[in-house]
Amino acid sequence: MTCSANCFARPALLATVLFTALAGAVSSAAAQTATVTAKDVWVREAPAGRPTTAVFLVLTNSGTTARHVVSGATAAADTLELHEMKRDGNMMQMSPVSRITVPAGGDVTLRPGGLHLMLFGLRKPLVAGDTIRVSLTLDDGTKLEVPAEVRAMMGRMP
Amino acid sequence: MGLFLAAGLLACGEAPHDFTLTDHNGQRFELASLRDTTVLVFFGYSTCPDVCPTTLSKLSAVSRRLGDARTGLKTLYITVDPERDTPEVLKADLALFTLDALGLTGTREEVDAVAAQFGAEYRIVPTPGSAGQYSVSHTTDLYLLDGQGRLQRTFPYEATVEEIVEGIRGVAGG
Repeated sequence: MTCSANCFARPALLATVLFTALAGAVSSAAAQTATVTAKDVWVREAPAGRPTTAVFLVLTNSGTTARHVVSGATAAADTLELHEMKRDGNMMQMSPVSRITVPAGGDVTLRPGGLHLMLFGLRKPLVAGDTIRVSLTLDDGTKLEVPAEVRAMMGRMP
Repeated sequence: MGLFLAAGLLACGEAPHDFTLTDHNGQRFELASLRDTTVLVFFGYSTCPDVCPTTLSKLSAVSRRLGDARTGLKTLYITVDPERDTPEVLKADLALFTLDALGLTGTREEVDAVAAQFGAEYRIVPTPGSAGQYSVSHTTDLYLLDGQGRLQRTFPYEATVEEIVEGIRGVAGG
């Protein structure tokens, strides 16, 4: 009985060890390439009739090479563009940017009044509490898939 | 810049403002209909991702902070993008805020005339390759009018809720 139990247990144990080793290798390979991570991802709510809104988040780069967000997409809108709001003399100006740099070993914050992801052609109203998925493409070809929480307009004042 | 400042100084505390635009319910609106009401005016546009929602959020907080005195205050949100900002668009936008505000639009000429009255400026900036086609750079000052339509204070975009509340109380005498 004991022997038989051991005989059955060994291949199972071996399989577990192999699987664990394999999973470890895969996740460590993923960790090596996915050096850029996102947190505090949110999108401003948008009522029916408002065709645009903006996504804000913090991107962190744990790697030793600067990475750049070069494009993005979401099923919630026709187009996602990288934009920046900045003061130009006495005016506030919004303009598209070709990329957003995440410095090596550092982070970049996309926030109201600065860099943001602009969504054009919203396909449905965005209601506070909902979540949309946003995909960002980096200059090395990796993609970052992140959920963005829809937040109310209210309560975001500085 | 010199002209802008000069216009602001000349307007401050002098002749009452008046203008006619179309409100977010599609009704003609005259500033003169708000005599005896303190009025906050700002210029923006609904596809503005940041500044305008932030300003509206801030003004909602101002309104809350004023408590009962808020009944003597009206906010006017004048679009500088009348081609896209129809009354319906402005109405949907304002519905997201707890604020006694009117969204105002009109013909390009009407909006230009009102902006000139306040010394507000804006510039249509084509954004080739962007789905937005163009963005609108604009000044972000808030204009505080007394119950006679006279400009009493101008607040920069960076003004805090407290500063605005204080300014309103000063003008409204409360």
